[in-house]
Amino acid sequence: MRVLTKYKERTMKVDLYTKIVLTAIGLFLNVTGDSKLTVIKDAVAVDRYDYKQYQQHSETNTEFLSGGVDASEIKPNEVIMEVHGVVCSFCAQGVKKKLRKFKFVDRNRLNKGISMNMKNQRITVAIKSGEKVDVQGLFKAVLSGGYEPISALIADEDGNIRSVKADA
Amino acid sequence: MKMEILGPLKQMLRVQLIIFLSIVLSIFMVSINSFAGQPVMDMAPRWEGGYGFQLRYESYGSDILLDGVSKIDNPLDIKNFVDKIWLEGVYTFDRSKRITFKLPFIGQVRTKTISGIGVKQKNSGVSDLVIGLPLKKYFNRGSETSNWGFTPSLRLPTGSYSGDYPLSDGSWDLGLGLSYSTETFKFYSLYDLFYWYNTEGKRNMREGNEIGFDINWGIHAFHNSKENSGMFLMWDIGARHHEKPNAFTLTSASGGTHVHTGPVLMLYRETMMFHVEYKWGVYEKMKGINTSKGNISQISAGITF
Repeated sequence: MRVLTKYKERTMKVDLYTKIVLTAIGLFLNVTGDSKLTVIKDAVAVDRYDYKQYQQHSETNTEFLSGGVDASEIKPNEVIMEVHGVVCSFCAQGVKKKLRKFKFVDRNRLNKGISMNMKNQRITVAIKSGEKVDVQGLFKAVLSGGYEPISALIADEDGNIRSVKADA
Repeated sequence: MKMEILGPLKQMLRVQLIIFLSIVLSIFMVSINSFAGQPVMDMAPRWEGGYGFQLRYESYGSDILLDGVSKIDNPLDIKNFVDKIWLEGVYTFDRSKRITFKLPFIGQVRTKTISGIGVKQKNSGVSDLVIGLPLKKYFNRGSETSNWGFTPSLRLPTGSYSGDYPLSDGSWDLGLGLSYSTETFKFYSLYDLFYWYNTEGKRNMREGNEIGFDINWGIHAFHNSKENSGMFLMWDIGARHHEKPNAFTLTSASGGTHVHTGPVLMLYRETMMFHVEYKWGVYEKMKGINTSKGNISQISAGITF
């Protein structure tokens, strides 16, 4: 009788873990589906990009490239920052939270105004049209979020691009 | 007759276990992260003013009787099973300074030999609160982030020390941890060494000092920047050496050396994380005759702000 009870307890535990693992797999598959969708959406976005704006500022782009950020990645009214150490978005959610507090961030674009690329340590911030960007403020926000800001490319609404390096 | 019933049941259990382990292993093969002795989460929250909570369920126990490293007969059905639910919290002042708490709610049952017969004992309730002060030095270099951690801890005697099977020995204990973790877009590893100095508590109970080492190796198997979701799959190796408690100790502490290893799965989405792990006891050496710690399973869910 004791053994049967023990068997029942163990079986219940095994069932519980099996359900948890299967649920986890389900979540994983759903997330993977989203990811593929994202890639397709991004590809469309790249196609739409007006490359002429980048070419118009080719001289200064050389300088930008040395800052670690390729100017061809940027769109009007955006800031792209190179941030060292950003490799996991769960750990970097504090940065997002702090960046979104700025009034000049356009929360209607990207992912509530912020996009992160963990593969090459880039954070893109969408800027509201006509708003002045506080780049040093953005750098400070990244630092208090736990990471190292290196440089930023800032594109105004006309596509003019400038670069700023973070203080060491 | 009894054996006839037990045969198929054992077979069923074996099949279920094989299926379960196959699923866990297959997940591990597809993709990995770790917690070890680190309170709450290691890499998060690392932002100023960040905080988080986690509920963690931990279960272990066994009815296998060991004499040193050898399994021996257990005619009195001596056993010890412990379930713990931990409420854990963390607050980050800045990335180099945090404060954490861990409060366990324990349910424990055992059969103990008293005057030559097996006596069943059980108890449940809130046990000892652990306060930690993780101090970290971060290094963010290109596509890698790493940190050294130094964590002094204090275990307060908040649990009940009364009864035949108390939840606490009623002592103030001091802990010290030294850790290193490194993470890239694809890989994660953590090394954590800790030591607990357990002082003598109430009723002359003293559980004995403990030293432990954890290693976590894993991969960031999946990540979606846009959705802020992903998955870590890891492998955990944990070694513990616990001094033998003194003769007055009535808690579940048993002393001995234990090495456990097994897979860890961690999923996250936005500010929430979910973690499950299962570790097998691969080496155990008890001081004298005592029950095996058994395999360890953990499930937790956490949220950061």
